[in-house]
Amino acid sequence: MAWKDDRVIKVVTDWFIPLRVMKEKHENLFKKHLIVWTPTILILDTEGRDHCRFSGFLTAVELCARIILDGAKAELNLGNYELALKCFEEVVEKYRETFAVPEAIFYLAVARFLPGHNPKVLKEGLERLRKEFPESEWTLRAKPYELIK
Amino acid sequence: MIEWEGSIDVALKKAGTESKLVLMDFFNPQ
Repeated sequence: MAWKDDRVIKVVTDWFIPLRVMKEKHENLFKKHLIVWTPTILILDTEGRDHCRFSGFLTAVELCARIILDGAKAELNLGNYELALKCFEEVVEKYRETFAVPEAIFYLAVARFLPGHNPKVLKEGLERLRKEFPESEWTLRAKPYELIK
Repeated sequence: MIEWEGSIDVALKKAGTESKLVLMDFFNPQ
């Protein structure tokens, strides 16, 4: 079980308050959050707002990368750009071999763009995706940034 | 070992106090 891996334990305890929701005990929470498949992981903010979710089983390293990435996306939504940036960079640098990296590069550009609205950083993000992950769907999603002058 | 909270209210309160996010693991052991 990936949750018992020391690397996962460290990421979870450093960044999150973990809550396990068992089907037989918390049917109401399954209904409230429209959970139809398990395992499903949700990231909530302190107001209980649902920011990100994913389902299925991941290896320990993939799970670390995914929860840091989703936590960073939640921080981005909350306007905590510096923290989000730090976490996206961590995914890109420390979890280089994981599936989360192209998405982290995409959002790294977004996190750099939002504070000052400098469109150049979006184009740089696209160029990096094209160079490092030409076949990724995240490269496709960033394609319109090529129109930026 | 991860010390999972069992209550959403406690988890949200702790998250506010510690400036953290809540990670919910929806799990069905059957």
